[in-house]
Amino acid sequence: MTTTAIRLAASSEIPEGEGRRFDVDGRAAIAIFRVEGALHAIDDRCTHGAASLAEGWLEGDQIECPVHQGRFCLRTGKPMCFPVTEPVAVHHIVERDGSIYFLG
Amino acid sequence: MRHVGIIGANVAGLGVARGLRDAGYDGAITLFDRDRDAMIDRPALSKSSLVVGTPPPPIPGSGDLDRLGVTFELAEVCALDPAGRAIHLADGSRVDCDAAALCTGADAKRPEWLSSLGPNGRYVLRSAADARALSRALEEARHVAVVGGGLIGMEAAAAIRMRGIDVTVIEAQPAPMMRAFGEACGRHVAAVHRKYGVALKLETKIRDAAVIPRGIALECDDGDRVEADIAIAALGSVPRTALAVAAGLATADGIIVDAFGRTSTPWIFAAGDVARYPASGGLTRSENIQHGFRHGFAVGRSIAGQAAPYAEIQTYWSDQFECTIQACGSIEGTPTVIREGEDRFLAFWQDGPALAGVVAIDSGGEIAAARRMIERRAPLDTAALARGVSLRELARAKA
Repeated sequence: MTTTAIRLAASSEIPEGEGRRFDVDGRAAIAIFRVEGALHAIDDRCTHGAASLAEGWLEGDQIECPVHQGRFCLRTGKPMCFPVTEPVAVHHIVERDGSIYFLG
Repeated sequence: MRHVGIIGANVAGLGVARGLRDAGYDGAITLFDRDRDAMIDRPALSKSSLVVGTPPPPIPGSGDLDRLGVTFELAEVCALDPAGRAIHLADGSRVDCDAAALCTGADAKRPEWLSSLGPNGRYVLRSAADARALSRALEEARHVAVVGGGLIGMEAAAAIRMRGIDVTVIEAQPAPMMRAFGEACGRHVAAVHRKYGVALKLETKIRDAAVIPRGIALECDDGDRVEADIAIAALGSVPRTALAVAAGLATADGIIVDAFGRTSTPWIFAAGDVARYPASGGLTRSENIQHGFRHGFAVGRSIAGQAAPYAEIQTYWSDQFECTIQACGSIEGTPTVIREGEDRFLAFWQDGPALAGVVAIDSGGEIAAARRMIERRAPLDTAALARGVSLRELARAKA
């Protein structure tokens, strides 16, 4: 494995339907959400304005920004609703033995 | 249908174009505007771009007109021909259209006394040109009088104060922003303004205004006189209905449309700030960017034959000093529950047992939850709220 996996949290820290923001050394903060068991990681900062998507509202596999109600698809990062028009970066994470790791 | 003409390249006009394409319309779309700067992100005019004096960013998503197959034409539309289904341009040319959408927006309201102030003493804040002129004046100004403590006036006051300039706000109501956020929130935000040194003169109207050697003077109806370098009139808007009136469309403080955005002439539609549309309390006009886009989008879809009645719950926000204030739904009358601390504020309005509206400061998650509950007409558990349970938890529990 060329990338170093960084342990972010215990699996129990992100229950179903919840999101959390994580600071990762040397890069912008990421937000991780759990939807139907699966984890999704995206950049925490909304591409439209200064807002933390981890504090947003989960609706299916979409996250709604808490400030201006733009929405992103958690699987693809695609903007789904005005005023967001730029995609948000999607990240690779894995969940193993009760821990969540960031891969890049 | 071969050609749709959209008059007004603002967020509503862009919404119409996107709605048309979303519904599968593949004919031509022309977006007409006489203002090269029409496609600016208007919320920034009284926020970030006024604080730092930088040009406002473009409307989100306005950069891909080519990909959308939309032609922008820098031209003034001077008339509509209701019988001949055409748009007439100021250069004398005639453009045939199968449908037209009037997204002409609104102008700043200019009270009579404003004309007594010279061109260097009076300002409004509505367009990119207004913001540029005001930004230049602020480079010299030491004291600014803002007349009208509505949402735009208070945002401008905060932005100008953050540049280190003295600000006096003169407002007729007992609290600022009563229409946008209700009285209790207005009082809360007034305290934040005072903390930063903004002077607020409430329950005061302007009787007269004059140019004086060192700036301008405003005579107030309580006998006071406010002297400043410049005055900004932030007293609301007047919808631009001239084209509609001349074409014989039904208007009444806005262009009257049905739930699909159709005017009294079936091939002509209207969307955004200028449209007076049916809502639960009767016909209304809404002026916020979310409405502009969503209404335009819905009207675009209607024009393309995918009609669904527009029934969006209104959401809007304001940034002032460290506060982000958000509103959702209907906030008429008195809130049934208010939760207030030094650095937080939440107010809830009900329609019977159902949650009807919410105003919140720095609580984005609560607004998202509120919108779902208002959509579902969910009853509000006021006892749980009083115990400190969040709307987010209540909305999840009932989902």
